[in-house]
Amino acid sequence: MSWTAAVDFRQGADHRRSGAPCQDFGRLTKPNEDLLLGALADGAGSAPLSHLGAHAAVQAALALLEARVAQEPGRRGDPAGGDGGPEALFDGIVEAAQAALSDVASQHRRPVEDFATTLLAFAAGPRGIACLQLGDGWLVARDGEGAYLLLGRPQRGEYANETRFLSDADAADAAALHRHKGPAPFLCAATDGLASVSIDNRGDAPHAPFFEPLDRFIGATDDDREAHRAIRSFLRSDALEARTADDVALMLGGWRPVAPHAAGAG
Amino acid sequence: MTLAFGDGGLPEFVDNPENRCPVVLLLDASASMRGAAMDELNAGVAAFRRQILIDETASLRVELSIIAFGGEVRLVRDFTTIDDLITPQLEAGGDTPMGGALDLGLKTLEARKAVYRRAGVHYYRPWLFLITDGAPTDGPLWQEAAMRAQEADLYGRLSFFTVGVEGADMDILGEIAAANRPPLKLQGLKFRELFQWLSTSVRRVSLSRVDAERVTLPPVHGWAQVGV
Repeated sequence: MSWTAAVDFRQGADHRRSGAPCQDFGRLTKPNEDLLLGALADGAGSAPLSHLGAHAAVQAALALLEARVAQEPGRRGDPAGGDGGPEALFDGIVEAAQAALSDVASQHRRPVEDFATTLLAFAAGPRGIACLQLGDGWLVARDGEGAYLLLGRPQRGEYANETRFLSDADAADAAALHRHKGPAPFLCAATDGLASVSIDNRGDAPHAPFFEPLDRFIGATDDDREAHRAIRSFLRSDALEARTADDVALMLGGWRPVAPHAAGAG
Repeated sequence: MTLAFGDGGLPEFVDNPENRCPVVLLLDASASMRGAAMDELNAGVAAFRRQILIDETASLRVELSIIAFGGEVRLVRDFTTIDDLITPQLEAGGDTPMGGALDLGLKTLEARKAVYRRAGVHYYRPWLFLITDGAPTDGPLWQEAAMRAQEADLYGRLSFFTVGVEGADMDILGEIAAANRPPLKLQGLKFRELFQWLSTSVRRVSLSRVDAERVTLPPVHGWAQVGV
């Protein structure tokens, strides 16, 4: 019983042309066989050092989440279950990520706005998942009935180029928490760069034919490195490059209730 | 080459509509524009279309609406993407119903936003671009419409630019313009340079992933008088 999961990110053609670094970043950890923790961040195009902000925010968010689930083993099955729900699970995450941004800003003697980034953090167990969303990153899960669900809507302003960042003064209030109770054997999280090819703008609905192949793939492997190679190759494919010139980060997670060799042994 | 996702197949991409960047031109076509000014203004609009067409993405994203005011207010072109735009040949005549044009421009923009929202189209901050060589002749209508345009600019609902051609009443144009964007005065008949600037600016916004307030627009010294 465990999660197979991997994350990768790549620089978009726009940034390659202009010499800007990849401003998207993501990381995963599996503190035990039941739990998958992850964070993705999308540095603001308008902020010159946002790639450093994205990195700092992800590390800080994951460190706090890891510490919390280590202290509270009851969160293993449904991380947002128990007293306090997702509020208790994600309590202080935005502030910790903001503090990390401030630290990096003071090291570089630059204003914190230069490190502006979104943040998506999530925790997934076999009986429930929860995520914290600040900005236009998103998380899609398949529930027990086979439907693909978008947990929360990507936070956009009225205009296509506006979203929420950790450097906003009201970031803690702006962050949204979402929870799905029950099994979610497939998870896919990504930054905004992938939304245009995978989420139908009309009603923010996940486009099932996008997710089904990813779902079948991650459900059929128990090798994180193979998953990473596949994501990496997809993010760099000509087909995707032709459709999005933005930086992108993509995470896939698949929950297998029974280990493949055990299933084979019957 | 092996498929990225093995036997899982390849993800099929959703066919979302392009993001849109709406631009409304409010063009003075009153009698005083007759002759070289009108010819150059028409040539400027045609040059704008050509400049945007060079960029494939921008040509699908920039949507132009043209409202002319000369004797009457006319919606010459309703919103259309640049690749579908047939540039008009405006003819000058009549007085300067600028207030009515501003009012129609604001209403047209709000209606367009509603269409975008219904269709799930993401859009950029709209542009409202007023060019005149005179002063409003349709009574106090302009004051109320200007106030709404200024308020819309202040609250980020659009970016409102005003340009005076030789002969324009720059004092009244100063009252019409948004507080943070004083009117610019065109050098001679440099409409083509103005529209080149507009196409570069609009392209920059329509391709950006950054907060619209932070997009740096190119300098205007190629067409606008400095210190007006």
